[in-house]
Amino acid sequence: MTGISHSIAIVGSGPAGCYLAQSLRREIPDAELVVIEKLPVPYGLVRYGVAADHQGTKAVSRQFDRLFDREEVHFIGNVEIGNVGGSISLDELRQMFDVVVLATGLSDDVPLGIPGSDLPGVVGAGRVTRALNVHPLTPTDGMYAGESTLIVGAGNVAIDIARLLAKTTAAFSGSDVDDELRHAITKDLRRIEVVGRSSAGQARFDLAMLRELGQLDGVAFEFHEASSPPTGDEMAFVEIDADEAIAKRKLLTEIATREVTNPRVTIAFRFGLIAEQILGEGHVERVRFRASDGLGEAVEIAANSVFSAVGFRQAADDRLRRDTLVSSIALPEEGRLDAGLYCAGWLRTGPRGSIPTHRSEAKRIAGMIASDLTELASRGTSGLEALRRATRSSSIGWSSWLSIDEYERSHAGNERVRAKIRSVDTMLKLARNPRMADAHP
Amino acid sequence: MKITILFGTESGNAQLVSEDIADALRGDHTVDVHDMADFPVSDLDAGTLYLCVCSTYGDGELPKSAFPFFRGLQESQTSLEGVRYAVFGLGDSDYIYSYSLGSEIIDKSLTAKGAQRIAEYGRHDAAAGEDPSPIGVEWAREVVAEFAAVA
Repeated sequence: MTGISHSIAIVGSGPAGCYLAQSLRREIPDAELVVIEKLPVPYGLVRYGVAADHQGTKAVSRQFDRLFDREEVHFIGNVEIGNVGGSISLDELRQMFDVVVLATGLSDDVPLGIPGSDLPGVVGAGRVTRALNVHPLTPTDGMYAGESTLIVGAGNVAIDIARLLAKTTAAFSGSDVDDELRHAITKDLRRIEVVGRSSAGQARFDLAMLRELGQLDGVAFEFHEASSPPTGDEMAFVEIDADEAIAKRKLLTEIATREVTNPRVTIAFRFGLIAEQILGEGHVERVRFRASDGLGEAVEIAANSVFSAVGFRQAADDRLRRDTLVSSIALPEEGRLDAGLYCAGWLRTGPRGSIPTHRSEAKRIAGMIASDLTELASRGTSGLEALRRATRSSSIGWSSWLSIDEYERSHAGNERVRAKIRSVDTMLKLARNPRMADAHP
Repeated sequence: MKITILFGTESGNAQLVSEDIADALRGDHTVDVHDMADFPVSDLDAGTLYLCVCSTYGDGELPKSAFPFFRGLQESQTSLEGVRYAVFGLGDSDYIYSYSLGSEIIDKSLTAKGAQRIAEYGRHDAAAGEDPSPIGVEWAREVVAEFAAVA
């Protein structure tokens, strides 16, 4: 090894990127580690994708703070990496660092891809979650749920949306939700349909998520299954835990039979239905479904709006497309794209795995990188210095984020933990002149 | 005093709290930190104070790293009489049904083998928004004081 140790850049400061920095710091204590973020503020999905009322889940960021505060992991914000239009191209970045890891995630909602899905009133679940989390690049227009809304999908993201829509303002105590936007979306809402294509037992949501939803005040539940529930024999052939399937159906039945007087909102769960078409004159009016067992009748459900919660994919304008980066020596399924180029997180795995899953994945990938590095000589120069030189006019560092963080916490409203800044310009002004924080609210 | 901190974690939060407790106690005591995944039940001994810091996962289940230790306890034929431990559970009361249950599984398994839990059962609620490390450190100091008083 030459003078200085290896330099490693991680692109993306979400949980996958930060867990990887954590594992790499433990695996290669003397490596130069830099985490690069497109926005001026860190943590990606933790800040913008985890629902605003799940602060317990967001608290994983304390581990990541530690990396930048004490463990000599460097944060470089407001720098987008991309061969077309980024502030630094990937090739340039690879010339600065011995290793580059892409952990840019999958931020785009998978579209429903059925007739009518471009009608006004159809909104992606990820988009609304980000908007309620005050994401700066997420437009908030057209997000009005009306009196009745319909969520396509029955995974944890669908449950998140149902909960974010059905909860009272008071129940958001301790969160950092955008109250104004939430009110604008939900002010007339009385009914939420949650419609899944699988049977209730096979639905993707976690029991703990449904339990939490079931505890909301003033919310009544309905539980409908289009086809008859599978028998024990049939369940033996599908890849689900039979106990879990029974528990899911039991809990749905239990919350649906609970007495709620004068419910504020009713949440109706329907299973075994595949969305075929969204209908309406110039706006969503109803959704047509067919039975997923092919036997039941088609049904139409009235709704003023539709939230699609059927998965995530890379955004169309994402500047780093994994499929174009894979070389002949690549093992993309393991996370290696080329010599000195890796990918981690959802960009590698697809939209699967919870936040903690990516902690164990990060350990594995860090081990692989450390082992590859024994064969790769360090170029002996600081990637951090080169990157700072190249982005001097635009990039911001950790202390700038701390100023923004302080501002957001100190301006939090009643019963809220922070008031997030939506504008990148305001973030940058605060970053460059922290005293502005005292000047105006 | 010889103190061993055993953590069971899924997200890494329990590890962070454990390392912070270790840093706080190290001046006055000999402190080791181990992931429950790497700690054999047969290493438990009567002369050491064990601080078990354990989170909860899913619907009230053990976090992944606690499973090997839990299985070790299930399979162990040896009595743990004389082994003393205290428990700090991390949970999230947004999930009220399963809040802090993971740590209780470890507690019950240790008790079932004859080990003795001492001091207050420490808990941290992530939904409350407070940093778990200072709460864990304060809890650990009280445990250590109590252990010193009876040892």
